[in-house]
Amino acid sequence: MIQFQNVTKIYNSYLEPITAVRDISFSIKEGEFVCVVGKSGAGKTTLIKLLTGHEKPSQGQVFFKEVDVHNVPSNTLQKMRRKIGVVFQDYKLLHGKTVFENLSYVMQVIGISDTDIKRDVEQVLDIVGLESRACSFPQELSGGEKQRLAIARALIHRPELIVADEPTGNLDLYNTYEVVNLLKKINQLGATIILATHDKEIVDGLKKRVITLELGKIISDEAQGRFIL
Amino acid sequence: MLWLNLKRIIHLAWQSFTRNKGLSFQVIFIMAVAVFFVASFFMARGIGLTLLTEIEKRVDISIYFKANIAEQDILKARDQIALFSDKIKRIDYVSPDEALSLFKQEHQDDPLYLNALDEIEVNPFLPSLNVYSEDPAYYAKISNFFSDETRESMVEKISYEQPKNKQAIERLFAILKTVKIIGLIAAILLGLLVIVITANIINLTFAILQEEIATMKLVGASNWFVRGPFIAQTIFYGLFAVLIVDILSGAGIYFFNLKAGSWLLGFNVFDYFWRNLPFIFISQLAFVLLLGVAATFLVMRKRLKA
Repeated sequence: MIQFQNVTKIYNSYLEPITAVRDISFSIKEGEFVCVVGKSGAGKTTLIKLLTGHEKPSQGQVFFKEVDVHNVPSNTLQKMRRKIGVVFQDYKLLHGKTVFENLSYVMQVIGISDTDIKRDVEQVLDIVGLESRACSFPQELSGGEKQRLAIARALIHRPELIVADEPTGNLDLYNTYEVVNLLKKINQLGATIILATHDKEIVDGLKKRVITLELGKIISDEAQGRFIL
Repeated sequence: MLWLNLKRIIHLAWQSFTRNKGLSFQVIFIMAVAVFFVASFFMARGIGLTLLTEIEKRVDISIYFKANIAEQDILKARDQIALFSDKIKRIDYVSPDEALSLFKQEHQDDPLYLNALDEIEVNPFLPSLNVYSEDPAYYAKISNFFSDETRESMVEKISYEQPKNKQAIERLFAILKTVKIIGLIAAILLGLLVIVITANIINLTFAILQEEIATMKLVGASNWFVRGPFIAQTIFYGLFAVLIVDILSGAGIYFFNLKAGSWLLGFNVFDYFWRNLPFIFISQLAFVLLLGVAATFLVMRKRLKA
């Protein structure tokens, strides 16, 4: 489903170029649950940005369902993004829209009917515990609520792939457990999950494939891995 | 699907338009100023040209012939003048009887004039030719025509020969010519200025929403689904700007008209505005939509690439 081929990403900084990821190659099959672990600055977020076409690699290629993500027309990239649900580390919520509208927008983009949108949004808001905040704007939510909204937005359109960048960073233990369970359940239903985190408890508890990054390089890739840093 | 998307685009635009009241007010204000300046200029130009036509109609040269000159000779002179140029629009022959009847008609409520006429017992009016020309240059030519030795004896008086009148006619035409040229240059400069200002305002407006635009793209929205609501929002801005300008202008002109009628040669500005309102409204809307949508399109193109 996903293939990184000798991917390097260098950011041109004011002082000196920064290599965020260097010569990375790996692939992920459909239905897999993969944890990407590493310390802050290891390159986890860059990896996700390269996968979603948010950033272009300096070298190498990234494939999603055999399509070169960085070598497709704009509308193909947009169609591809509709198959991916992303939980961004900085949430990337639409601040001019309410909680309900943030979720419905993703479904409107795909062209789902208003009746289905209403039903699904109410259902997902109930799952993430935001049903009473449906009419609130993102700036009126707490950090945890924003994170739950970002998760809800990534799930709402039942994507084939969910990429979550530190989705539990602002959650308490109970909510962290809930989110991880939710991701596991979605994975059991057939979706592929990529979870970028530096939470040892989560990674060790999941007993899934773990790709470990250090200074932009893959230092281990184990089928049933553990947090080794 | 197309209809559903269009409905959603309009709904998203209206939502943003009504929620960001401060921003909407600022953009509408700038657009309204732009529409007002351009529309006022064209309105003033339209009124000016209408007044000009009115004034042009009033400018003429009158040749008064001696009482003993036969009507046949006067009509012969009229035909000769008519051959000078097609810029000479009309030449009216006014016989002494017609002149008398016109005078009586004009002063029917003025017994002093009518009694004086009765006292004289003869018709004091002379036969005359009234010449109307689009170009004042021909007035001098006509005047020269009657300075000729053979014709000089026929003429009692040429009204153009009066220095004040001649000066007034020439000055008026010079002013009108200048007004037309300066007006055109001013309209082009003003139009460019307005385009630059409005495009910048739209650019700044969407710069604020840059992060939102990036997020919309990250969740898979097509370029049109991102761009559409912004374009529709600009259409709302334009529509409101034009409506506000026309309502305020209409009210302003109505009150101005009540006081200005006398020094505008009886010209009814409000009537002119009202008669031309459909054209004015459509032109303003076309101007503001073309300007707004083009600016939004260009700005969004840049932002969607970013």
